[in-house]
Amino acid sequence: MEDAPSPLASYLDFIPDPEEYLGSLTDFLPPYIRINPIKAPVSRILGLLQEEGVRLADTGISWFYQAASSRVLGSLRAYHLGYIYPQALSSALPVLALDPEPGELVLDMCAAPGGKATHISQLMDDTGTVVANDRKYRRITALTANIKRLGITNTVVTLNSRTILPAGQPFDRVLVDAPCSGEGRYRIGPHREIIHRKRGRTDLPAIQKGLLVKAFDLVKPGGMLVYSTCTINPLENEAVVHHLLQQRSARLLPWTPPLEWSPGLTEFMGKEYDTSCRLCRRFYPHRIRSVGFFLARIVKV
Amino acid sequence: MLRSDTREEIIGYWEERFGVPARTFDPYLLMASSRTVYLVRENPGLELLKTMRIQNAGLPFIRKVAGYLKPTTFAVQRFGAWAGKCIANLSISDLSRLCRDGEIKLEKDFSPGYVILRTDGDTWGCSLFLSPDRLLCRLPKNLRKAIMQMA
Ligand SMILES: C[S@@+](CC[C@H](N)C(=O)[O-])C[C@H]1O[C@@H](n2cnc3c(N)ncnc32)[C@H](O)[C@@H]1O
Repeated sequence: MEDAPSPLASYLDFIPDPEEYLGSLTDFLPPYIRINPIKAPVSRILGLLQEEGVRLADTGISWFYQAASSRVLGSLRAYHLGYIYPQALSSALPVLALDPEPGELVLDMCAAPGGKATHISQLMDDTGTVVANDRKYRRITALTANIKRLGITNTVVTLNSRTILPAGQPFDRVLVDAPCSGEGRYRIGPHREIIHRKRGRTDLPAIQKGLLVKAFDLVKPGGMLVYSTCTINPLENEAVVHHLLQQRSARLLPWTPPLEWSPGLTEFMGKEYDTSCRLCRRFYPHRIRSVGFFLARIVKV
Repeated sequence: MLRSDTREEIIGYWEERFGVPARTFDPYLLMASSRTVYLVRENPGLELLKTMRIQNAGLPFIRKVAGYLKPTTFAVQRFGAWAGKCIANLSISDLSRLCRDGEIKLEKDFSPGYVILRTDGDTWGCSLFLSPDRLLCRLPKNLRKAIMQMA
């Protein structure tokens, strides 16, 4: 276990079965798709996928399948007809925790390229309104292309966070799927190098704290806020949630996820977090066979 | 928001040309930008839009092209299933030929105008039918390329 690459070595105290985790990092994660019943009957979508040689396996999450194909999923007829959205199985979790309902007003604060925003829309039967926001123009283009491909009508796209979001506390639910270091995607290559390592920002926790507090202020009293990342680092996860709990009257809600999970941490590297942080949910790639994730389900009191 | 006579004209076009019942579009607002009309699910929450700077809203529905109405690919994909007329049922290889050559022969007695492209019940978008027997590809470039690679 000594040869765990940094920063993963510092997580081995809390990752369940760390040996198995490290061993699993050289395997590829299987691809998954969500099917989009707005565009065609489910039976037709499944039939076409079968015609195209895609082998599907159940996942236990509605609309999500593991999809084995010798062809790139993005080149399938089913893809260009808007019948499917290829995405990690774990990316369903924040949306399921958010639990949006038809007719509501929902904000996805960091929405591009739209995997979760379009899933939210689907759970709302394409009714109500989803505001899908992002900071980067280039990523907004991909987001808009996905909304069109899936045939969604209930979504409004906005660019940037601070200036253009509305005043007041209008939203029934807000999702903050924050920019993060992406450690849940890490794989180890043949030369022990980390694959999918992101370069750049070292100020992520500060950005994440800013986004989460801003998002909280936009939720209606009694409304729901979900914070999620695809990283393992507690400084980008529980520490961010702890910050919100100190700044605002927010409360964590329990949740029983449909995939194997571990409770949030209440301590990391000598720093203690609010004890309710154990209500956060952690998902490890070797346990769920998909990208590692973190989420917190928060209510505004 | 569109004036109600423009709304009627556009929805009337879908009904007359393709037989999509006008009530299909009752739950939606039509919103116009310079060349494109968007279909947006109606909801009291949309009031909020007035206080925000938005990039786009809803699904592109129809465009004015050279004075004519042209339904967008994505709206046809979404609502084409409700159509009962002006539907060209093609094989995937004919569709691919249409994308590659830009035009194929189609022996049908459609009146000139846009027709819906279907293969095995799947709706891809629309293209322009001109008498006699000419079908001109009007699918977007990216989709054309993707379809050519499928066959
Ligand atoms: C993890 S990705 C979101 C993935 C997306 N939710 C999905 O499911 O497809 C994080 C996103 O946050 C955006 N972002 C970064 N800083 C932001 C900010 N200050 N405000 C809004 N979005 C931001 C990035 O451009 C990026 O698209």
